[in-house]
Amino acid sequence: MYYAAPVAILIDELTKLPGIGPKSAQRLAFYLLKISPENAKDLADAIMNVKDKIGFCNVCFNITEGDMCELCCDFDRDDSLICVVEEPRDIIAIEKTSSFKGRYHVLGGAISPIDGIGPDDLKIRELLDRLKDEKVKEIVIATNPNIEGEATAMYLAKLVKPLGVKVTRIASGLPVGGDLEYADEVTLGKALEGRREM
Amino acid sequence: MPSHEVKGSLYKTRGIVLKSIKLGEADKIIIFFTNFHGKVSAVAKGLRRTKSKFGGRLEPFTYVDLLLYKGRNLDTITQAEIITSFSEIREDLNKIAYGLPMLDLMNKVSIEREKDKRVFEFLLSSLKTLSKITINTDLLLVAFDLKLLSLSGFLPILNRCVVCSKTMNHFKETFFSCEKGGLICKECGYFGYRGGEVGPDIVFISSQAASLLSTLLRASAGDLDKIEVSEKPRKEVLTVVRKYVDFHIQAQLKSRECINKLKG
Repeated sequence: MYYAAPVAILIDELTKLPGIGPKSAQRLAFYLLKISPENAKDLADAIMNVKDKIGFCNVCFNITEGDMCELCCDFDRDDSLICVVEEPRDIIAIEKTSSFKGRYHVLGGAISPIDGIGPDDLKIRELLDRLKDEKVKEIVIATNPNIEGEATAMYLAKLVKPLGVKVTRIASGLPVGGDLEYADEVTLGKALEGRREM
Repeated sequence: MPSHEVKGSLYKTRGIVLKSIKLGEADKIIIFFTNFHGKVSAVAKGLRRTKSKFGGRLEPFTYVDLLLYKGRNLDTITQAEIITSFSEIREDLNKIAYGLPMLDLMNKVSIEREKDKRVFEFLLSSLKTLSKITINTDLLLVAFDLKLLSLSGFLPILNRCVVCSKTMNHFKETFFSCEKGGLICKECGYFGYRGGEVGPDIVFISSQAASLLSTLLRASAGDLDKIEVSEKPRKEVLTVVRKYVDFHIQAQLKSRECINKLKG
């Protein structure tokens, strides 16, 4: 035993964080030993606050402080449009574009057969329930453009189209500021497929 | 084909992407099955960033030309160029549903750095078949399982009883034993085996299902969409081969549980 028990416990807990190995955990633990009790308490309170107050929105499953998230409460948003994303972080990415004024729906992941994640493990039934409301005219599927995201998009399209709701998929193509010659065949092929008139 | 070893620690190879695992903030570990080095795991740095130089080159099913940097534990991918993207598979939910279990089994049966050119060619030709096939996708998966297990040393015996060696084609009722690795005739199945009781690992299969098994084991890529078979033997074959796979892998492959939910 190199450390006093409380320090060893702290290091052990920090090691559980993503990307933190034993050495970084040790460094963080020694930093925390040095800071003032007030700062340490602020950190502890912030963690506990998040755990106590943050939950999932009853409607879209975004993270929220109350029962419903701000985006679902906002009356200025378009009810006829729902953007379907994998994770709450994806909402932030789309909000930053200020190009989307509809509602959101967070699936909580993507279909990944190899990891044993099937359609039943996602919030798909809840999405279908939302579509029963006749106000919804279109869903925009904004899952990641990898095999899991594409499989999820195709699965959703198969379920939603028969309900008479328009299903669209966000475009795939070249990143702005990139160079055409470095684009791979799959991306460039999709960019050509999704070309539009100017 | 140029030499696969380039200068000290950089080497070239061709591989098929079996699986990718998220690593850290923006990286991924890609598991390939390669022609010269067998199964190889390598890190693709920054793959998850939208401006990654790899773009869509390292998605599952893709057949790529690779330049890898030999590392102490994991190799690092420095360059990747697509040879065949197999987009026909990735754009069809039904083909994904049956194709991912193929890649999953390949990943499970192969051992890192154990070169096997036959297995590589077999995987490549199976993916070509999958990209073209329009019917019998389920039978393609069964044929893939049987052949891949055979290449790994688990060839099931289908022409004679594995207990008494009697030739099988006369029997109407047949059993299949995962443990014994093949068909068991009616007599041995009912009376001889395990003191006259049908053991838990023995499955009853009809004669049509037994002959379908040997057809699938022998079938070449082009034959699969010509096979016409009714629902019952088809289901029997799916069940028995899945049991056979689980028995030899000693695990239940998760990728198989989603098939029914995803297929068209």
